[in-house]
Amino acid sequence: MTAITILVDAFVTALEVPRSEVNESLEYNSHKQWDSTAHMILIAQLENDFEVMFDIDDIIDMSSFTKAKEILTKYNESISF
Amino acid sequence: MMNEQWPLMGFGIELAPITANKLEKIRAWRNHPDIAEFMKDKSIISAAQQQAWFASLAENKQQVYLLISYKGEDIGVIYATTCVDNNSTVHANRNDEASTEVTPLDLAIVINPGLYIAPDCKYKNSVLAFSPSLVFIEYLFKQGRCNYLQAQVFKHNNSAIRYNEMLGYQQDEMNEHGLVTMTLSLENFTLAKAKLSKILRFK
Repeated sequence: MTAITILVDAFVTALEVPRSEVNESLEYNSHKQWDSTAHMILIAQLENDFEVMFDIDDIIDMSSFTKAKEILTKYNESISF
Repeated sequence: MMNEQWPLMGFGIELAPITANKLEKIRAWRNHPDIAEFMKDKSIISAAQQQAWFASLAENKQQVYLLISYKGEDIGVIYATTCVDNNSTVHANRNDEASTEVTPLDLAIVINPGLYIAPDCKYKNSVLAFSPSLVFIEYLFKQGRCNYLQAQVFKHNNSAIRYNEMLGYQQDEMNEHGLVTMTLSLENFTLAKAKLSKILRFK
């Protein structure tokens, strides 16, 4: 499974949205399904799927689909989206 | 307000008593449609009402209201009141008429907490929104005799229901106004806090 597929799946699971809504424009405070609980589930899912442990500042800063890619790449340079 | 040492701190945030210079900011938050929509009392609070409420806080032992701040930025309000239904004591007064006295917060067995994050706050839908509740709920269970917290949430407020469940609340009955009662025990909170702490890794 590719990294982008794993990432999209994590967003689908955490936000309970269809895959079609997971795209570059997805960010919190603009999508109704993205609330604090969804954010919590998303972080746990990403840490599990990508075997990383984020710094708390990066967790709070993970405010969009694009930002998630950027932060994940910072933790593992071998990941390519 | 009680005499404990403020502020309460933890999970990256600080909870401190509300001061007079913050009143208008808080009133604007409270009157914002995004906040008022989920309040039982949806009426617009006037400046005079806000001042009167603030003046009453100092002597009111049944309530506590604290300002939430993160990295020096004010981001919301968290509060608790004695649950009238479960803590009232009925006794006879000098005229032998029954009167109701609401128990002070530190003697209350059941407490009603609540919070709102500022409507324009960039953190309102982030994991940081759990921090004030984790700190405050722990305080409420430790400050007196509280056995349970009880929250009432409108059934259509899915975010608040999910949020409360993450904190360990369990849903009870729903009343005729569509308000769902949710109850939190110390045991369930302790379990939930352990899980949430794995993500909220503040040093």
